[in-house]
Amino acid sequence: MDTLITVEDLIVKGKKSVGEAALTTTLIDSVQIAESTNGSLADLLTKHTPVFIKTYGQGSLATVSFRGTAASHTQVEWNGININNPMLGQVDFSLIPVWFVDKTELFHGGSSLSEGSGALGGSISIGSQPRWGEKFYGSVLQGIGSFGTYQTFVSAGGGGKRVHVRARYLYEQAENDFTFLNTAVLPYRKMKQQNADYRKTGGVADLFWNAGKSHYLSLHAWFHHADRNLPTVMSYEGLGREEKQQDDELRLVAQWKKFGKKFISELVSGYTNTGVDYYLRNMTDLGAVLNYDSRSEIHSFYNKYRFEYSFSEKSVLKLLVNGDYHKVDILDHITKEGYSANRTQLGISAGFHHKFSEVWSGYVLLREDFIDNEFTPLMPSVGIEIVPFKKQDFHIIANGTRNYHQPTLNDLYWLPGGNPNLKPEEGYTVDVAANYRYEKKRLRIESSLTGYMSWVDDWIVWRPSEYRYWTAENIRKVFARGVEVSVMAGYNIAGVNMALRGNYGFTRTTNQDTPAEKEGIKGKQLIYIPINKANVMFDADWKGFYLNYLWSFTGERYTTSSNEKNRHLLPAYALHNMTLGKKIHFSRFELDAQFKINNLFDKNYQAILWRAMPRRNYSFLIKFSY
Amino acid sequence: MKQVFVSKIVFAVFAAAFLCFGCKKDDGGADEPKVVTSTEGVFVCNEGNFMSENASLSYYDDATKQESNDIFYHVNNVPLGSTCQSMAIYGGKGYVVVNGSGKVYVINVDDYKHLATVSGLTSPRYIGFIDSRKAYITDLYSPLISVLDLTTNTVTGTIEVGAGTEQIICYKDWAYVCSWSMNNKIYRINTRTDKVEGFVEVPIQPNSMVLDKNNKLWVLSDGSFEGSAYGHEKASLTRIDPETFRIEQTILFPDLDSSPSELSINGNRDKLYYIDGSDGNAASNLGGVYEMDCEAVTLPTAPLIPENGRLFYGLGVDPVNSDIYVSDAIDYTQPGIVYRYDVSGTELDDFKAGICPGAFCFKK
Repeated sequence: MDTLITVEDLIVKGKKSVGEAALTTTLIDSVQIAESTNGSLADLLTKHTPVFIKTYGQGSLATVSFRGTAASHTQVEWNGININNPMLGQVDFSLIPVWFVDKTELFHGGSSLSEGSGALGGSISIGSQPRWGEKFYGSVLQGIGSFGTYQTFVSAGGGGKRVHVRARYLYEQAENDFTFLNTAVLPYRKMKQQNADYRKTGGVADLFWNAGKSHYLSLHAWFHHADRNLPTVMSYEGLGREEKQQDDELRLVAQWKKFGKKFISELVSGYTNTGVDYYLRNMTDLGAVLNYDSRSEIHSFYNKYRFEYSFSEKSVLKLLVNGDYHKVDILDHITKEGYSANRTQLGISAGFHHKFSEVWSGYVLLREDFIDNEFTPLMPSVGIEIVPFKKQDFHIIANGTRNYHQPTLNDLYWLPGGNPNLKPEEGYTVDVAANYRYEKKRLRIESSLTGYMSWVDDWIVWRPSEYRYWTAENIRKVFARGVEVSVMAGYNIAGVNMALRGNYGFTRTTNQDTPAEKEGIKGKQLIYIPINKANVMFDADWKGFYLNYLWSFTGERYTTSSNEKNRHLLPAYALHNMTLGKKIHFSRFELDAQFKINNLFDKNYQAILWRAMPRRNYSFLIKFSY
Repeated sequence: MKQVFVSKIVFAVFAAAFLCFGCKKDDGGADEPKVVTSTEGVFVCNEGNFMSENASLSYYDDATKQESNDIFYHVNNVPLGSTCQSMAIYGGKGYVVVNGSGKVYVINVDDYKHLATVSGLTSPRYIGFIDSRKAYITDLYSPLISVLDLTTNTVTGTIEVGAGTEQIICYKDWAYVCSWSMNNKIYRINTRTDKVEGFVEVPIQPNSMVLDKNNKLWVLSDGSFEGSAYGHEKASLTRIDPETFRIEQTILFPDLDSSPSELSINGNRDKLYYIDGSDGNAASNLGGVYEMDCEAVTLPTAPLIPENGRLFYGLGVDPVNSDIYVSDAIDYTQPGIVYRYDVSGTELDDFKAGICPGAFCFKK
């Protein structure tokens, strides 16, 4: 039987192995995942972490800013392979359903280097996990919501002692035709959002095989197809405009793992095929004219080998070798513009983790990449963890890392403006964190406080050139620093389980380069990154009834590099979401019905300048599980 | 004991850090900025960023050297929209073409009050006035030019061109439009019949045009860019006789990298001006505003106004005193600066405009 808080969730920082010491990581717990079960990873991160997600609205493009960095500075791994789009460098988090994910872990800042390079902000690891021991389980979830939103989610799994399979599928559609007062036209008028509808379908299948003698094999497959219309600007009063994007994705991963007495040996191989098609159609009096019809296709191959050797309980050596290959083609069938390119990425890293005493432990890590026939400078990372008090679960962590992020293929080859002479972006990060965990009878507390400073040199931006088009240049030096706070307190009394979780992120991320000084933007916050971001969630359950109340706050965001205050400043907003539900059990079945109110106080807000967002809206979910 | 105490303090700090934010009060309605008005001055069309709703209109009174930004927003309480491409004045009314928003706003040029909206356009770029009742609106994406009835501010008809159109110049009973994007044609429209009479081919991507004192039509072609699927050739200035509709002269830019734009003319219509970026070599300092006599047969070799580290974006020449207005969009994501120079190229002063100041419209 599920309880809202599982024990595993709470043992996050408590019993870390030597190999995990001194890293700044966060594991998102099952209650948080359950709250966003029918949402995307974008929703999950917005509501339950200090990470900022920039989104154009429900179902549309959602990009990440981890610790004040660019979207391409967050690397995302799915079952061991990197899923960032090599052309854009980023991930659209709206296309990762929480339904497909069993485990989500954040590696903050330099702690990401242990998994791979390029994550100047941090990395996010998602993946599937088996439920060994369960012969058969399955669930069907049907959701219906405001603005013509329908969701059907199915999952099934099970197996014996040796083999375990899981399969998940979803279909989701929304008209997204919410009503809003358009104050970007004259006269102001109530309008329905146009051209914001979407349809998404996808599935994930996993096969886990315990082959005996501590050999584990697994196969993972992911596909999705998303068909999205992109709404235009609020001020639009033209004859008609249709902007559309189609995303197709296939991901295949095979993993082999061997647990020896003193070692772990792991091989991961993967292939992904990504297709992104974009259309822009404008109406004229002679009918529609297709202005852009851009299609891209990416084939990527991934190989990763990991070897961990424990000399003793106190010393672990970790080796990682990876070799990835990407081939991309993009062509606009109207403008006939596009490019074809490929990239070979090889990397090797070695880390040594050691526990000096009950108080002191630490690691050193060295990584080297060889990308498109060029070596990047050596990337080192060092960390130390102190447990100063014997009786207190209190940890102090400090680590420092140098990391490099390669230019994206668009940065290098886009026509016009791609710059093949770009250097990789160079990042330095220092973290200091304190984690505290307390557990006594009915009360559980877990908290962490992290301060960080990052410098990114040769930060790539697209800038106007002498030739009237924009070009990519290694021009910026960005200094990002901030604080991440995470608190969780759980209490159990008279059969009521309740918990309060909160996250706060303070992010100052500013330009520090010489050109920025000339341009009057030195020391100014990067655009669209809030200085303050917070969320608090309260949840309680009693005899199958449950309540979930979420408050999420997004601070002011500048939309100009010079941080103009006037009407270019996006005001802060707080959204309240509430979920009420009831779980009913009969024999081995469970029926879970929940009612959700989003934007409870009907807040009128903008996430992007003059892009309409929905007001109060509702959804009803019913889940039937076995 | 001490350990517990320290831990409690740490926790208290977390809790305090967690609670004390976001308490900042709203500033409330900031006091309305004063909007400068005058009988003579210049409007600046600030394009803003693509599909970002941050276009704006600025006004500068050159007599008192006072400027007002975001005047359309302040007076009408609505943002101008996305990508303000151009503005033209006719009969005391300003026609502000808001490309990305698919409309043209008609405003009173003295108090900037909204008078009408010409909606239902595709991707409007420029407006040309035929007479007191009729105007043409060119369009980047539509193969049609819209015919606007100036008395009702409604589109009453279309002219089939077959390609997207850019700038427009009216002369006698003709309107000349250039087709810039992946095209190389100048079309001639009979303004009595609203029909295309024909076209001439010029070097690729004609982006701007002026009519000189000899009533010759000058066309500036940017030659597209390196690697373009449409082709890449040297930029050029073409002189066309609008009567015969024949090319009289084509002057090629020597450097393939040149991508000139913003062909403008002074009040006497005897001096041509355009912006040409440097060749990427800052030391050569060849980027800037060039001036060329309309009788000249070769291009000037040095700029009248060197860029000197600035990045020139928009260009306008005062029709009365020939002062030159050049904008620098800086990094394109902050309010740009307009530099003013006198007729000899001596810098007078500058003022701050909106994001990406791209076009000027003189009220003189």
